[in-house]
Amino acid sequence: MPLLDVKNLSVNFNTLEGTVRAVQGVSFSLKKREIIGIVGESGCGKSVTVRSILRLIPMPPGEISEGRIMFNGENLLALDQKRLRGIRGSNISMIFQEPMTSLNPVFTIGNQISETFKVHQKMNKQRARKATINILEKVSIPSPEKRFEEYPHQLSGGMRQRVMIAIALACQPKLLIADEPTTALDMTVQAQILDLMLQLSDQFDTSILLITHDLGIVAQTASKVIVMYAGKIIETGSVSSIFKHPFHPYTIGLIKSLPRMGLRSQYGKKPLHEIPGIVPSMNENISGCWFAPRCDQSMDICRKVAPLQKYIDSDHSVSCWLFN
Amino acid sequence: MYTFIVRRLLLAVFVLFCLSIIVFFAVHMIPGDMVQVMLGPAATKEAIAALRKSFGLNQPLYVQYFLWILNLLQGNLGESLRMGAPVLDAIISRFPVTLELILLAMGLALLIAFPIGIICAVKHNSWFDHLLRPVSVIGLSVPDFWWAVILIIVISTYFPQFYIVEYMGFFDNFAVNLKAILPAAIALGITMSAVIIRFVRSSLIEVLQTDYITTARAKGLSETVTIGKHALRNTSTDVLTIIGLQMGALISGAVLVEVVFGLPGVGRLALDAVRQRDYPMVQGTVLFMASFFIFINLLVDILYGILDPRIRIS
Ligand SMILES: Nc1ncnc2c1ncn2[C@@H]1O[C@H](COP(=O)(O)OP(=O)(O)OP(=O)(O)O)[C@@H](O)[C@H]1O
Ligand SMILES: [Mg+2]
Repeated sequence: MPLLDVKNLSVNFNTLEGTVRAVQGVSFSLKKREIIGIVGESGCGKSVTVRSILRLIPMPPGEISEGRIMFNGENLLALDQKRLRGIRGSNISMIFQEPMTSLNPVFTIGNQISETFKVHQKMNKQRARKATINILEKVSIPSPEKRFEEYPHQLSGGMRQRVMIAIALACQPKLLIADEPTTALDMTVQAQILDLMLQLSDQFDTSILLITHDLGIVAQTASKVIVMYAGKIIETGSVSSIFKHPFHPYTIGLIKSLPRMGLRSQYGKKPLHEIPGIVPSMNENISGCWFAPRCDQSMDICRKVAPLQKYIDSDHSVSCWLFN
Repeated sequence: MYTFIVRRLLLAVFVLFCLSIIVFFAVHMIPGDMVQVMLGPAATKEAIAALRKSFGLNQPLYVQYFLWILNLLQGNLGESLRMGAPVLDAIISRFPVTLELILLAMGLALLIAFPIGIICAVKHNSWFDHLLRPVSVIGLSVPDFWWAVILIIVISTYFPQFYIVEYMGFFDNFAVNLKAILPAAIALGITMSAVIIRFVRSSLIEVLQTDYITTARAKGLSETVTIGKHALRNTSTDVLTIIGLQMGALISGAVLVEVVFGLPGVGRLALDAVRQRDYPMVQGTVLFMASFFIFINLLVDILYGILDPRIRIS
């Protein structure tokens, strides 16, 4: 049984401009200790997909219109609030993109980390403090006793993201959802934060759902990739398979646009590949493939009928008429 | 934090200085001459001139201002031209009434505004929230003295046992004091609460959309803790600023409400002084209330610094 099994998830936002179909029939599953990377352009529904797992999208305007999210044999979408709260932060944790804004500015670091221990492990103040200092050490924050009393604004972005990791991993969750955890950080800090996350997850047997714009990061860390486009999964497979044989023209474009060390493109002789056009707005009603307007290989059928998911082999599938 | 407070204090002194100039010259621009009013239309030119001289009103304005400021710096606001008693004494004896009225009104306003504002924000766009919009517009647009008149009519008609003719001090007779001040405080507080409800609502809606609230929820905290601890703490610093700013409205409202309810506060003292062209008294009361306003805002700034660690530790 997979640890997490998302089946046919659809999420809509009912806005004044109409219904935004942010996620449309997304299915994937994640095994214990597995790391899956989700990639795709801005606005394609990555955050909404993963936030739906813990029901952290604002409802209203959001609405999970369809689907099932099984975690350890329980449907998270059917849980009552109390049960769900018991899972949030203890079995499934999240790290967000913006370390500058994801910590409350008016409470100390210590206060915000100990909360997790108090809520889930029913610790009293002293024990929660000890556990907090312990986890601060684990995420390599120097002089944790001093940092315990400090406020978020006294820490650098990288340090704050370490604090977020501390909060997320405090209860040794089974699943860590990291929504672009390094995007907002300096290049040098990015690698450190990523390493820390991987190392602790390994130590705690935590699976990771890692969202990123950066295919390079996926190639380094994940074993499976999910490529999303306009609210749908268009291609998914093992990292090696996808990087060696990408099928979907969009995935091919993404991989081509990846700058590679030592290649000529780095030096400007050949410009970086760019996928022309922009993501369609998701309150449009498109009957065919959503990528067709930007695709240089599109055929008549692409604009009329949406392609079905096609398995190339047991763990590589693609939704594209070129392969149907 | 200390430099922050010192800076605020220096600023307050500067503002007070500018204020003293404005108050002084504004008061002397009130049309009508006190001496003329005192002596009546039949008075001779000589009599008027003599009295003006004895009050020092014949000197150039800047000399009068200079003398006034010199006395002010020694804690002397001058003597009332009408009562013949020190202005400061009159203000000090009346101030407790105004202070009690303002504090009570603000307390009531907060007591009403926070729960309602929170419900509106948490359930925004619900029927309760929609209902509140027109209600708060009414609350905002109806002036406090109108509430005062309505309250007096209601109390004297339906609850005559609560109708107080004779005001008594807080320490003399608490029950009578409260009966006298509470209706006035309600009249003042209603308008104030309408302002604060809107503010609590919009501030809380904004705070509830921040990332750190999502973090709090993702940690598994209950909505009570998420809102009660993480969101409200940030909202209350926002609301604190509005309390300081609204003090101005509260002070000017207090003047009218004191008059309507016949409360012997500084507001009434000031209004009587204006009517009688009692310059030192007008200057004294206005400057005093302005200082009070500045003092409250200073307090708010300091409190803000204490509540917000980004200011406290920087
Ligand atoms: N609260 C909301 N109200 C209305 N629409 C929303 C809301 N949140 C997300 N959306 C819409 O859902 C779609 C998917 O957004 P999402 O944040 O999941 O994108 P993303 O893939 O995470 O992009 P990014 O890489 O920029 O983080 C977007 O088109 C966005 O406009
Ligand atoms: Mg996102």
